[in-house]
Amino acid sequence: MILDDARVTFADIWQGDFDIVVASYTTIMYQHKRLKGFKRYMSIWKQCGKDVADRVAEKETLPTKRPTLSVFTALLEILACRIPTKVLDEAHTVSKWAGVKRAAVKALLAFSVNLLTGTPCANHWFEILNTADLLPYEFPKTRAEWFTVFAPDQADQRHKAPNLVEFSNVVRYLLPFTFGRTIDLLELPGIIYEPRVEFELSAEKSELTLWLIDKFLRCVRMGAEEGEANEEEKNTAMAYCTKVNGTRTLRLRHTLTSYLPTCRPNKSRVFRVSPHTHQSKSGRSRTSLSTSNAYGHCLRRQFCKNRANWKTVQLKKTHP
Amino acid sequence: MRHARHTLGGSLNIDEMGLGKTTQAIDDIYGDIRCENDAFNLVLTEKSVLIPWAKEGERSYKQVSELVSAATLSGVC
Repeated sequence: MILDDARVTFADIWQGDFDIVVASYTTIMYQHKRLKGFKRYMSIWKQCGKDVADRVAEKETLPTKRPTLSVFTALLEILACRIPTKVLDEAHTVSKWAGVKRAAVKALLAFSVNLLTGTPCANHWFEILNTADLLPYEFPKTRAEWFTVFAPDQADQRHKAPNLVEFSNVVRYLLPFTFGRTIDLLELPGIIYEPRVEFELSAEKSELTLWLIDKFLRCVRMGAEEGEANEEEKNTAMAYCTKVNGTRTLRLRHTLTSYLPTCRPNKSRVFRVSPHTHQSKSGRSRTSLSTSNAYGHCLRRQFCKNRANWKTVQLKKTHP
Repeated sequence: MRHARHTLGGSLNIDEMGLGKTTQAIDDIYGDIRCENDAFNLVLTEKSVLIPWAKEGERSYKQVSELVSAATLSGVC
């Protein structure tokens, strides 16, 4: 259920028997603000009487009746149930220590909290502590206590980077709460490594391979500019590029980068690299290579069986 | 992760963009729905991603339902 209407009560949600209720931070903030206003009105009423409370309510636009609240309700206690899981998506947005949003989120009682964030530290290293404070069983209650425990030397220099011991303390504290990616259990996309074109060449074949690469690139240039190339040459060069093995590793990227301006000086060339397609018995990955033009597309269809693993790499055009 | 949530009361899922934080959270929620007397699980997001969250939840719910029904038919549950 999407909770975007302020008139929806907790009873409506309870009768609907929903498993998950998705609400925005804005809705929660609005309801929490209304609840705090009503509590302030009642407090003034108890201390100063109804007339004074009404005047203050009119001046500060406080609600004089208990507002309709969806999640801030005493029914959770009356029915002896509690929200099982509270998921905070983009948890770094509630990391402002004295923020209204943070107060509203912390006022929601739940058995467990699941914080999702991709940027735990936006500007300063201690922002991770602000996010971790949203966990229910934290022991420091104030920001000063955080620094007393984790970075006592920086209590007056909070913008300074932590030393190794201080950062190690933070990591050790967060370790039980942080979980790794269960890549074996869930079908998640793989980790994207930095694409790098590598060929394993034996020492005696390196000169020959460079000559073949030169021929291959010349074939590509011919295929792109003239529309045709010698089939034997391009098959030999491409097959050698995809099947070479040995002990000496040659970083082909720099070599290709130096060749590229001679191939197509006015346009940058896109190479497709598949680091996961070929795995040798020794565990080293061998990569294959082709270009993105029409000629390269034909070669790619010929040599690549699993196109899903192919990634696009934009090589910088740098003149040698 | 379940240990972290039940023993420590919470978990912190830090990952890069597009690597499955939302999927993991939804999978975790559906994996824990057991008791009918429990209240609803609450997901708080930005207003702009309310609809994607709901769609992702419905999609995962269908997958979980299919898995549960398949397990029931095969006599596992």
